[in-house]
Amino acid sequence: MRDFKHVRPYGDTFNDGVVQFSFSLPVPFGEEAKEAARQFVAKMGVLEPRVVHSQDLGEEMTFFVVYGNAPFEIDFTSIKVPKVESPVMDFYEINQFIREQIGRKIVVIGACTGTDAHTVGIDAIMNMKGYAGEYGLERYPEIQAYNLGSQVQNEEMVRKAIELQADAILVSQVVTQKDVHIPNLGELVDLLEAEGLRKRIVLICGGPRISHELALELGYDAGFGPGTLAPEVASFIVHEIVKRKLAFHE
Amino acid sequence: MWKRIDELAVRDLAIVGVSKHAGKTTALNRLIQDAALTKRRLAIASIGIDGERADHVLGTVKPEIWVPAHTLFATAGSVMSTASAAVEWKVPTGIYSPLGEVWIGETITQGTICLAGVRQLAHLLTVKEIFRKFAVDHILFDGALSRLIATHPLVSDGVIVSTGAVVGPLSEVVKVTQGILRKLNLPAFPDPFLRELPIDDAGVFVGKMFPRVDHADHFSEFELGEIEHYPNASAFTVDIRGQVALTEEHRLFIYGGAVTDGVLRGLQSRKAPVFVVAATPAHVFVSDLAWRSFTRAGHHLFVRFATRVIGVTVNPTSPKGTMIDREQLLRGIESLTDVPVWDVME
Repeated sequence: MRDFKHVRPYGDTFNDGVVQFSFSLPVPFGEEAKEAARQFVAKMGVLEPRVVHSQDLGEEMTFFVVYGNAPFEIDFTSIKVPKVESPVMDFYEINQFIREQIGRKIVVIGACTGTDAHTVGIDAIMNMKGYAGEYGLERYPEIQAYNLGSQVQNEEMVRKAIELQADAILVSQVVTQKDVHIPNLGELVDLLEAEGLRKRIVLICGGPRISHELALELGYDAGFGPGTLAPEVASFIVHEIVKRKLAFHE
Repeated sequence: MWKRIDELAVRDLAIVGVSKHAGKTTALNRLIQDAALTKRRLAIASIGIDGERADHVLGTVKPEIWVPAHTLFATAGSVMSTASAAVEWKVPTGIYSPLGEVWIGETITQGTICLAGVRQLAHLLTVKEIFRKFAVDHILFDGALSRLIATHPLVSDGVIVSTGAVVGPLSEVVKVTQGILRKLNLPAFPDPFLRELPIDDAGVFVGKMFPRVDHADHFSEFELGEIEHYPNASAFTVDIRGQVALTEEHRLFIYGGAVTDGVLRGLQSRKAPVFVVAATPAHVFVSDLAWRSFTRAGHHLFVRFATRVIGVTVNPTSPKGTMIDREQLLRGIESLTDVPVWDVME
């Protein structure tokens, strides 16, 4: 029986605590560079840091791989990560649910917003062909799905939401350098609030660094991470529409 | 801080930050601690997530929220698993989230609490209404990121702004804080008729204003004439310029929804002065550049419902590890405003 209360990283054997770091420092390649990398990892509290690989990147930059030993353990049994509570239905069940519980087609718009041009995530959810054997929302007969593409500004999203009478908005944020996704996602919520639309729209964000907790902090109804498939998103949307009694537009 | 709050007779207050990690929760904790000394009964809600130990973006340790017994709060129950206060759950709110339904709870012992699940203006209004039934002295609304929705006059009647080193070097902190304060200090257009318009009314109201004197500029130098409502116009739908045959007398433009750069630019070339009125500071989405340009053209931006800024809190340290000299930061922010500036860690 494995001990989940005292979990340490697995390197070569259980509980040896070995972790690997890879990073670059803006210093010239050489022995001093290796020592700088070792000291850097030691300052993070890692025990016995050892540089196992270094490479000259040119322009006085050096790349490193450093091993070390984690000085602490994790109680896996105490970890609780919020998950969407609504049951995930399949393609046929979702369309049936919409026909029976909502009584009209629902409108979903999606885009990568701000400066983000990485559409792989939103395409996997929205596009007809879908991803990993699951159709995208465009294929659902009871969903009118509009993939607005990339680099869509928040004002344009609001304009489209009004024009198409959207029931749900999906925002994908893949580019998160310097946390640029945080103010961008927040601004959309504030614009929707200002227009009085927020309460009648299911608002969802997704991307590699998005969780439900972050989504809630940003004012979204849910946040989906990488690997999410269209039925998970569609199931959440349709249950949310019914729960919040949004089925009938004014 | 409470002395100032009492002087202004603020009952329900919002804490908003100029960015994430600007020190909102630290300011909230200080308010709670000081309120406990004078036995004020508080109700607390957050429009983000508060009280969790680690941040969801940086992974850094965040301050917990400590409250005395008999404090009311709104949260999704599932996040309370790591909290230490014993709680009596009072009523469900009907607000659902992936963390579960939001309930109103009351602490029966002192300890820490976690706040999550409230995320819209409509939710804030729902929890406020329930809090009121429990005869609390004050309601504190903690904001999220740089969102201003908790400053909405239906929610709060005063706001504390938190700023700090997380924004960047001192010059950047001053610049960003100035931008937020400028928005929050937008004056109310003084005509009482405007306050009677429904606050969530969509569309645009366009009014005629007739000058009483030559070269009239100040609103008091105009006679307010007929005001017409164009319910389909907004910053995002129909341009008001296509709805009305605008004359020189059409100087007053009251927006129910967002006021954006596009709104200001669209009216900028009209004969000055034009008066654009947003519902609240939370409805203003204009860049510094567009605002400056609009003002330089001789026009004015107002709100229907002004926000009262109680004071500004500063945090000289950033969770990213950077620091700003405390005295310089205090002086820099004090140069922007007449309201008190506090270092809540002091």
